[in-house]
Amino acid sequence: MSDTPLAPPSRRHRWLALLPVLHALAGVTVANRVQPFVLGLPFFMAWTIAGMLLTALVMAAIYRLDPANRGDTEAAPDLGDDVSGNISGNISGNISEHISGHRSGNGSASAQAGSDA
Amino acid sequence: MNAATVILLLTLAFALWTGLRARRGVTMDLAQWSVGGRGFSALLVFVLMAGELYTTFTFLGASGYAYGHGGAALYILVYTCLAFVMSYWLLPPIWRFAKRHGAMTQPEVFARLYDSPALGLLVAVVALLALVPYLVVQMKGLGLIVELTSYGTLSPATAVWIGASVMTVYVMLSGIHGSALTAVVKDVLVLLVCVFLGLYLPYHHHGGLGPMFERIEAARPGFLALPAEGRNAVWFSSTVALSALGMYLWPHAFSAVFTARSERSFRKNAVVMPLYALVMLFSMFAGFAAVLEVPGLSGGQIDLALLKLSLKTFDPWFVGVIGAAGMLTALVPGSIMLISASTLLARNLYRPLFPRSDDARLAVVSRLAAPLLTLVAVLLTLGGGSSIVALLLMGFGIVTQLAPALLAALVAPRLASRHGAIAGLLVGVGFVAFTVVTGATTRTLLPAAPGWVHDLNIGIVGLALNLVVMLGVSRLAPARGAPSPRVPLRRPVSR
Repeated sequence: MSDTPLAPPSRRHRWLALLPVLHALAGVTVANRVQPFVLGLPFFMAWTIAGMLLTALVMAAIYRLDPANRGDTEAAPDLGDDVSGNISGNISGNISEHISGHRSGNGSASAQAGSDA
Repeated sequence: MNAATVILLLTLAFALWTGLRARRGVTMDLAQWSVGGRGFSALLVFVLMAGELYTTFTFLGASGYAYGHGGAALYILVYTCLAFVMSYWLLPPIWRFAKRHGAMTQPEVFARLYDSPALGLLVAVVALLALVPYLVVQMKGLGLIVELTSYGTLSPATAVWIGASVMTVYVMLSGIHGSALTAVVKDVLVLLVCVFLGLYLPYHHHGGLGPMFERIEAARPGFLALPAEGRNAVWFSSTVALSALGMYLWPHAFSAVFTARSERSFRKNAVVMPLYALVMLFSMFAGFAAVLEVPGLSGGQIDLALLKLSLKTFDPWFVGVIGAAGMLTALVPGSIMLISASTLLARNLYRPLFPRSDDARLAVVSRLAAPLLTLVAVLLTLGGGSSIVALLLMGFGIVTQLAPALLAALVAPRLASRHGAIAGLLVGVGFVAFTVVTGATTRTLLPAAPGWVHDLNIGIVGLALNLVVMLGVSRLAPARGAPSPRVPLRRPVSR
């Protein structure tokens, strides 16, 4: 992707993906202990659960920041004949609504989304 | 015939009925049978992939591992999360490539990536090798559930045979359409049962989660974290790395990728899946609740922890409901695995050997392969005594050997040639097979190595060998001629 001078989509969001990994590494080094209990759970377990929540948050942030998920070009074929139609349509609709405008001046984003289908 | 058995049989009838219903209105050619015509939406792909997540491994394996090995069981939560993070970038290019090249199985993707039918054959063999222990896990789970919920009226062997026959009939009749529909029912049931057991069992036996963990800590100090030796931090990290790498390399996980209609499904799923994985935590809670209540299970027996405690706690009808949830966790993913394995056997082993066979013949072969593979799995189930997680880690050790070749093709195609990929794969799988057959560990192989090397998951050692050999051979024997068609791997951008 970096070979297109016209459209340098931001890839900085990728660095966020390191957070869950670092959290897991910290888990086995400094958080590997039973005491103190956190909300009744052993410390190592609480740390691991926090990591899962962190992962979900980080992935949601990445999903929003990633130019590949902009525009509705992919949402349309997603509306299907089965139960998921409405749900997935709504999710992607909301998300694309949310991020359009955000960096909308960047022509490359919409151009890329267009070629993404 | 007690209440538990009745509920189990009803659930079974329901699964078969939805399976048969699902095939209505769909012409069952091989593409429909195995990848659903590549037309499943985000939610259905999510359900299929979650279906793979919630197997017997989750239900009995995770609770059993928590019971048997304490804090080490948390590796399951960590690796699934990291695998989802990887999937965000890994699955879309695989999906694009498979779609562009009409690939329906994992070996086809590899063969195309490296433009090497030989690599395709090798990957087919490796994938089948890895799937067998995973199938055994499901059979074992089915057998345990049928046996325990029959309150001893059925022998373990009979129970395994019953479970295996059910799975084969189910798969032969409905293919993946059946799996997707039953998967929805299964996920709801497992979710409810897991969360309920994970909260109720600690409450009932210990007065709550907090008191339960305090009692365990008092009785067995340190059990709830990682020990200094054995399943320690090094073991934990290497096992997490191995399993996270391997999670989407399972042939059936690959197949689920092919069922998607759009690549954005995968990116959406990567956001939601970590939360969905939290349910496994509840299954572990149930396992921990059994630590002080049904002590004394060891080895392969630890998988019984959740069921034994349930038998001790609930009326037969509710044991039947738990058994039904457990049965579906074995049946649905097991059938997906069987479908991938038999599709793979027909398309990637049978067809290269009998090139003149047409599609109709292949469809027949893949459907005959299902009972054959079940038979192999049943015989291995009846013969072996390993715990579910131990079996699965063996499968992970094998299947992860596909990672270097795949990742190299996606990230740095110049570093790996087809000869390198084949050599690396042979060495890696050979090493893992050697350790499984001989029972060798890094401790016996490298007695002089520092202590942390001995605690490494053996699959990681195989992976390192694989990588070194692949890169080395690729330097010595680079691919000649034009590189294989890798253009669609990268997301297309405006020019």
